[in-house]
This record gives sequence, C-alpha cells and structure tokens, in this order.
Amino acid sequence: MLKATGIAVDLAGKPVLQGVDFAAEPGAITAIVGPNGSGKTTLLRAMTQEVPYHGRILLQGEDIATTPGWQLAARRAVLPQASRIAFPFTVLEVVRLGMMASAHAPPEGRAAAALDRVGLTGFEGRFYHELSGGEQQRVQLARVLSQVWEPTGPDGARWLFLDEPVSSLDIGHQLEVMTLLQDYAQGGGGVVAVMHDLNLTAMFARSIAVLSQGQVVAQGSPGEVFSDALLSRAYACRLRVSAVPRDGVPFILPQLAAPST
Amino acid sequence: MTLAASADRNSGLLGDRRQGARATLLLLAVLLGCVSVASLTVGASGASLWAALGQGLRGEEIGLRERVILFDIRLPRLVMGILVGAALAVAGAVMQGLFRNPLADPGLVGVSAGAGLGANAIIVLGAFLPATLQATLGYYSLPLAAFLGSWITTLLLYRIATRRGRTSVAVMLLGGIALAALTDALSGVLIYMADDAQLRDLTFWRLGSLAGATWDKVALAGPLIVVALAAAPFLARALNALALGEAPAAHLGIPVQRMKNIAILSVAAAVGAAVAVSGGIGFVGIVVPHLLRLLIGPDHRYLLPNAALLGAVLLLAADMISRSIIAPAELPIGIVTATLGGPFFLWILLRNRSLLDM
Repeated sequence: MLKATGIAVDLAGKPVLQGVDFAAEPGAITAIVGPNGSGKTTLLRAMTQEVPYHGRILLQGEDIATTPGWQLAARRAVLPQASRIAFPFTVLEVVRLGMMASAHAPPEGRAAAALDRVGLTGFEGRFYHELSGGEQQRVQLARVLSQVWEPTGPDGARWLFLDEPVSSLDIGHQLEVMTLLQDYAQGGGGVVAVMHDLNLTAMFARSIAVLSQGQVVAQGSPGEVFSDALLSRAYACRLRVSAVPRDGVPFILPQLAAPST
Repeated sequence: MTLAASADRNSGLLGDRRQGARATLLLLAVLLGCVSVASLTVGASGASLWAALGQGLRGEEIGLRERVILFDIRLPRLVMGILVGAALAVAGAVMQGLFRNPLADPGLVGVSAGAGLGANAIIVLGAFLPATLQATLGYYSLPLAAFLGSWITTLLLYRIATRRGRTSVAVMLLGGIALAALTDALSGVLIYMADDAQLRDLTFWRLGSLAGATWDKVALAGPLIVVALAAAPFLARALNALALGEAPAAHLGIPVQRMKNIAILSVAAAVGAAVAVSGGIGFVGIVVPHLLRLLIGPDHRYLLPNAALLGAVLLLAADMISRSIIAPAELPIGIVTATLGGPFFLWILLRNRSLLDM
C-alpha cells in the first residue's frame, strides 16, 4: 500500500501542503479532489518525488526517499498533466519510451497492445506533436501503462500515479480511460489519480481524499466524503449531492445562488 | 508524416524507424569510406595519389614525395577531419538532447567561444603557468584549457537556461549570445596582449581550419574526442527519456542529474578538443542532427552514431571544397561551413517558429 504521513511542502517560500496524511490501497482507484490551488497536484508531485517534501512516504512498506530510482521505476509509473515532447517522435516511439525501465526487453507487441487499450490502434506512425491534446494524453497513458504493464509483480502491486488523466478527453473517452484504470486496479494494481470531475470520481473511486487549502479535510468512500456541507465548504460554493436512483452512486450538482432554501 | 510513412514501408511496422536508421548507418559508413579515399586523392600538390595508392596496395615502393604527401599531410588531415566532424556533430546532438531543443549548437551558444578563450589563454598566458604544471601537461595544456573553457560555458549556460527542469529556448539562445560576447571580449583582451607570433596562432581560432593537421595534433585531440564519443552510447537512452522532461525521465528510472553531468562533460570534451586543433568550425553541430532527425527520427540510440558518421562525411566534404575552390590557395573550412550552415540554420528557424514561443 501507499502511506504518506505528515507531508508538508513549501513552494517558493509559501506553504502549499501542511501535515497531510494520505493512504491508498491497491485493488481500487483512490482519488484526490479539491478546488484549484488546494494542493492536489502538489501532493501527487510530493508522492512521486517531483517536489521536495517533509514527512514520510512509504510505498509497499519502503520509504521512497531511500529506494533507488530504477527500483521505483519498475514499481510505479507517473502520468503528467500536460506533456510536450522535445523532438518529433512517432506515437509508437513514445509508447516504447515507457518500456525502457524494464530489466528484460518486453515483448514487441506490448506497445501495440497498450495503444489498443487507450483506443489508439492505427496511430502508431503518426507524429506525437501533431495529435490533439486528448490524443496526446492517451498516448502518454499508453506509455505509462507499458511501463507497469502487469498490475502486480513478484514484489506486490504496481502503481499508477495520474494527474488529471481525463482532463482533456471527451465524455466517451473519459469513461473508456476510467474503466481502464478500474480494470488495472481490479487486477491488483494501485491507482492514485488527481481528479477534477466530481461525478466521474464518485462513479469510479473507492476512496477519495478531499483537499482544501493545503490540508486533507476528509478521506473515505464517496458516500462518506461527498456531503453537501463538506463539498460546499471545500469548494466555497453551494453544491448539492444527490444519488443516482438505481445504484445509489452520488452525483453532485451546483446550485445557483437562488433566494430560496 | 510523409517521412515517417516512408520509413514504415521499409520496416513493416507502423511508426518504427529503427530499421531505416540501421540502414542509414551502413550507408553512411560506406559513404565515409568513399569520401575518405577522395579526400586522400584530392589536393593542391597535383601528385597522382591513385597511382601511389595502387603501388602501395601491390606492395611496391612508393616515391618519397608521394609518401610524404600521403602519410604526413593528407592522412593526418583525414583522421583529424573525421575526429573533428564526428565530435562536433555528436556534441551538437547531445547538447540538443540535453537542452531539449534543436537549436542548441555549441558554436551558436558560446560553447566554442569558451573553448577558444581557454585556448587563447594558454597561447598568450601559458608561459606564466608554474613550470612543473607546464612540464606535466606539455602539449596537452592546449586541449585541456579549451576543454575547461567549453565546460564552464556549457555549465553556466545550462544553469542560466534551465529552471526547475524546464529549459527556455529564448533564454538559452540569448544567454548563449551573452556568454559568447563575454568570452569573445576576454579573448579580445588576450589578443591585445599578444605578441606577433602569438597573434598568428590566435588568428587561426577565428577562422577554423583543418590545415596544418599533423599526427601531433591528432594525438592531442584524439583521446578527448574518443572519450566523449565513447560516452554517447551510455547517454542515448537518458536523452530519449529527457525528451519527455526531467521528471518523466526520473520516473523511468534515469539518474537524471548524473546523466546531465556526463552529457555536459562529454559536450565540453568533444568541443574543447575539436576547437583546440581546428578552431571554430560552426554549424556542423546543428545541421547534421537536424538532417538526421528528418531522415531517421530523434531516437538517440541511432541518432548519435549516425551523427558521428555524417559529421565526419560533411566535414571531409567541406574540407575538400575549402582546398579546391581557390586552389592552390586554401579557404578556411570555417568559412565553408558557415556559408552552407548559416542559410540552413535560418531555414530550421523559419520551419520551427513555434519552438521559439516556448
């Protein structure tokens, strides 16, 4: 499992995260939500060592600060928010970059299989920089998937850390990608995603951490965390949580500042 | 798209350009062989070296004049051309990979100027070095000083242009201009201090030339260049990962900081050694990698060895032009590469305008 305790991050002298505790189990999607500037991306970046942090982060019981980079690369992959690539690589070449971390040469067909899973079969020969933002995001996801292809390894779960994995996708591809992540988790892998869309989060995440002003104000199941009061306070606007009639999945609707209620 | 598509037809797998890259490597090796032979037989002396080569191959005695021209003038020049061409092209490709943009060229951003300053300093001030140091370093003080000069400028430039793992193209190019201006100004001070004999040596840096290649100079530059080229295969994977950005490269298990240090050192060694023996030959480092990326793609595992070969081929070709265009006199090769490379650089710039907005 992933366990972060007492995480504090200062960026440019200003505290962005203070005393954050966060945990995630493999087997289900764990989401980090919160308003803009609440520190969700910073928390993900701390847990992937992209920013210096105070506190302790354990992945499968090992402190990531003292685990060698190549060992971590075999265990976890990280999807960045927006990604430009410096030179004109083809889609196939980008996906293959993800496989450089493995000790043994992965089978030739893995890149094609990864592209298939993100619905980009036939894009192999296209240039990455000529694709749309949403297509680039899915190519990057295929690259990240090809890095930790099997959800579990001999030393336990493999982990995907994703910063807004569906932010520039249309609704069909959002569902496709979220389902893919769910499958990965159900195969035994760990998935930690910073999410923007609360309804998608409610639909797919088993555990949700809500960040507000650099602190975790709640972590639990969608039913526990998503309440009118908590979300309205965190996002500083009036939100109403209802439930999908048939399966009880919460959905969140904004309420305009009407004079009633 | 069209280039990638045409490469696909060769390899059978869409988007995979590895087979094409291997074929290009073979083709360039053959081409280098041809250009080398041509380079040995073209020259101002008018000596018929085809005949001499034939004699040599048949095991017959070669005339003294032919032997001197062949083995003491043209052969060291050929070897130096190959070393310098390969060094400049690979240094350019590594630097562009490190800075994550195709406009980084050692000549443009002050790295060659830094090497020149180091070399100038040794020529003018070398006599002031402690005698023991002079005795230990001997002739090697020149390439080592050039190496130090290019190392410091590359390091400074990287610090200036990169912030939190991101490199700004505009800051890199402008920072490079500032560094080049500064090092040139310091070189100017040295020129002002120099005596007549030293001035003749210094003029040489400004122009860049393979003339005056000797086995001694090959021995001076060779080791540094060979070490730098030998590091390239170990850098290739890291440079590929760096194209994604520093953080993604680290997530792929690349020891980013160590690789950056090795890249900077090998660029400095290659450029320093090349500048020490041949002066400032510009544009090879930008033209060669750019052409190759169009042909075989940006995968550094194939780009770097191909760049070494194409750099050598282009420099030998430019050298032949410089020797024959106003024969029996000789045009400095730096003028030839700048005349061809300047317009090429403008063409890249206009094609990649969007790059400058980053």
